[in-house]
Amino acid sequence: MLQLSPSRDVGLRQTLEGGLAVIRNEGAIDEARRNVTLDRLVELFSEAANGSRAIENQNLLFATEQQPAFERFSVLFRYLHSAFGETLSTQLSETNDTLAALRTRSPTEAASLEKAATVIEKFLSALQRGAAVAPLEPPREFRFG
Amino acid sequence: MAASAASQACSFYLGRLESEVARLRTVAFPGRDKGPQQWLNLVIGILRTANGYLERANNPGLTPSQISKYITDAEDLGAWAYQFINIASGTDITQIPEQVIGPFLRWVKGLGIDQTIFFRAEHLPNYELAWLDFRQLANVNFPDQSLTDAIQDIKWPALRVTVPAQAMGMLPHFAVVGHELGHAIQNLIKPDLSPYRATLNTCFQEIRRYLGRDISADDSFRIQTVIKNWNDEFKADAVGYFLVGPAFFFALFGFLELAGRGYGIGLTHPPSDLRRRLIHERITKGPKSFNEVFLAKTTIAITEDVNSPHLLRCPAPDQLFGDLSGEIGAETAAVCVGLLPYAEQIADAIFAASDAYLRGTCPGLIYNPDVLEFDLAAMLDPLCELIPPIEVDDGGSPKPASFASILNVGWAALLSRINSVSPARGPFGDETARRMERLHDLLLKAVELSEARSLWDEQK
Repeated sequence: MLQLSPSRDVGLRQTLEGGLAVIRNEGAIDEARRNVTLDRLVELFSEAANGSRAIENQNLLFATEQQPAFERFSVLFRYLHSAFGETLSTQLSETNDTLAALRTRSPTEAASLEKAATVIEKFLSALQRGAAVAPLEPPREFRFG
Repeated sequence: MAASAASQACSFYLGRLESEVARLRTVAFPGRDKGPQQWLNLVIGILRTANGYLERANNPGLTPSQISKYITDAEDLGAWAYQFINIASGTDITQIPEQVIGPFLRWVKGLGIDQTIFFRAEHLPNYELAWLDFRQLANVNFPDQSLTDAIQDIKWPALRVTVPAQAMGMLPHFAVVGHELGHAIQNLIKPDLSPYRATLNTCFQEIRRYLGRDISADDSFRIQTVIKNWNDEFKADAVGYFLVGPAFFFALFGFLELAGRGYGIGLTHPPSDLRRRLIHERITKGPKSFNEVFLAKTTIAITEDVNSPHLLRCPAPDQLFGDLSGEIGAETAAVCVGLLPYAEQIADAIFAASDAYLRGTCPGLIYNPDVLEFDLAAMLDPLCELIPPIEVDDGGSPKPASFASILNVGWAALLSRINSVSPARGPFGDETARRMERLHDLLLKAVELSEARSLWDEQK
């Protein structure tokens, strides 16, 4: 798959920022935009949570059988594994549940909202860090050895 | 002031990108392939969206932070547009032989691939299919209508097939495109691999032995990746084989003889010698095998290394692990070597599933020994008399030769009759090379004229 680095994905960053704005009730965000943002985030986190569970359960054919979910999880694993370690699976699952509840305007506890916001903020920070540390094109050298 | 300078620079950049796209629209793209123009429409959509952000940055009442965000997002979109133009480089008729696009598109249509696709040549010894999935471009804030339209016009994920350009763009090797198109349908081929899970447990023991520890989350991730990638390569090999028969075998391993004689094993591919053995087994088995037919007409037996004698065979597993560790790291080497027994076992199931899938969806595309026998009888001798294999007469009215037929007859001539072909004129290459160049030109002419004949028949 020819991918641009997720750290350069403008749409992903804008979706995450939009999600934070919804969770924190910040700024004027119309209903349509709110729903679209939450739909995208729920899709992202639910597939990632599935992927994480498959890895934990050592379902080793998961990548073959559910490629999109595996790829979603791969992205989040890359950027969040160091922050959350072995709790990543739980964090993804809980974030997904919170976002889904927000989408349907079901009651959500303040603690759950804050945890989801933390996951999204860490993801955004990791993306920004990824963009910041991406090296410039190195000088090329063509030789053996 | 600084923000204004950045905004102006970005505006200039976006304008130049639009100008570049306008120039690209004037070049000719081969065949009936709409893919490149659809891709350029996407680039225009990105640029207009970026220009929209720069306009919004001028809105009164914005904070400096909000202004900067619009400018940096516009800069990032400009960077995307620049990369996207590069993605489509090599698609015009100055780069890729236009004669082959028509037959490639027939394979695409026959296999039921309806995604946006385009073919390009790159000056690298590489064949590949790249999946292009940028539907998430629709997620950007305030997309220009042209971007929304372009995203909807493309059937995602789009596909880009790359073939080697110029000297290494040898027509007989283009049978490998059958393998690349196999990747396009790999997710539709669903072999039942559940009987082999017990073998996986044995493989895990070996992986632990090589690692000297238990399997971590990182290792599990790596194992998933290798299993998926190797499955996909076997599927693509199977599709290439079923589409083109022995020509695929000759093409893939002839190409690797020239461009990559190593073990081939790694995260993305199973060992090359294993892939060769698996296809060779199928070429030589059956009540009437490809090998029997080929031998009868050409007197050349299709041995496993008939045109790839220097392709390395993998050593014993422990040595392979040692050799690989230095190059790709011990963790990856442990997974690749540990999974070899699993790869050997699942290959039959994957070939069978690929065969079943193709028979169920496009049986007319499958190349079989009877067709090879007919093709060699009808076209090999004339080809050696410099008559390009354009059409065949099966007792009814003449019909255009298929791309698979042309490739197989071409390989038969290359491997068994090259000295019968008079050399091309020209200052380059020895006499053998000039004979091969003559043959290459004849085959290219056959592809062009048989395609023209097909189009003519379809419009009658």
